[in-house]
Amino acid sequence: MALSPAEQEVYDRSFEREALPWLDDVYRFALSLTRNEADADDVVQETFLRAYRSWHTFERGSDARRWLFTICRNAFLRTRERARHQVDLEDGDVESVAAQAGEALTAREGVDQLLTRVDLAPALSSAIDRLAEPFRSAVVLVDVEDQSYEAAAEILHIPIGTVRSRLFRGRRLLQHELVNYARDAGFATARSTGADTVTHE
Amino acid sequence: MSDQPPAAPGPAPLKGGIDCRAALDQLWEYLDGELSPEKMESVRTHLALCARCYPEHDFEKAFLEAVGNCRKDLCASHRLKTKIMDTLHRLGFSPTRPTSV
Repeated sequence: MALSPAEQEVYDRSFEREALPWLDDVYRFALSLTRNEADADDVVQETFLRAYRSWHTFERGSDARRWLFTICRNAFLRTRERARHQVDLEDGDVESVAAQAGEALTAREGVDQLLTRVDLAPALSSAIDRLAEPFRSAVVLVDVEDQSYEAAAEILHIPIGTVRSRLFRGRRLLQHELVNYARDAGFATARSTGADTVTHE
Repeated sequence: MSDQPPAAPGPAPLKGGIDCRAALDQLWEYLDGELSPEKMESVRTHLALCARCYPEHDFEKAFLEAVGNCRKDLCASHRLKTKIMDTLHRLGFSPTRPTSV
């Protein structure tokens, strides 16, 4: 059904006000999914095209960024399906990949020093890129894009408990990467990279 | 100096109603603000009283802040923004300004 000029004006103004300001956020999320700038551009363009066409279905007052992230992920999955380019790991594989990340770090004074003395942004950003899916999406949504566990669960179409476990394992994998980075940068002692089991009282 | 031998290790004392393992197990959810108000309070109290766990809190907090800030400067290119606005325009969208993003 065609909109009247006045309705079209309202439609466009609300889209401009509520959806367009999140373009950079959607781009960051798309880039974390595709790990390729050209593919991310395509996914973001597809996201905003679909968002504009479907804007009448957006529930006013709800979280537009969450809504756009959901469209973005679906757009990414569609492009990946089209390209028949399977990059996700099945859950069984994920378990084995994550096995090394199950334990907390014990002595990590090298990483402590890194966090306070070095600009870790480039190292962390590339470590996030190297994270396997599905850990990467959970870390990016919650830690980089400040989404709640509930929002991430909705965007990723998974239970909240799965968000929690993927997020925690993703964080542990990142911390292990930082230990290696600290060692290479000369911050970590042999002891600090040797044992990986935390001792609780 | 006391001649008494050190006390044998006993059960971990509860601080805030929880022991260190429980506090550390919930630390990320605490930092994410994802615990119930009662659990938030238990962990907060434990951390305030426990000299062993507070450094863990500081480390994880610094780690999460570093992850959260590592991509804040990453933006869509001007070329992409222009391309999206052109596409939306073809669909009938008319922005208040030539470039709304």
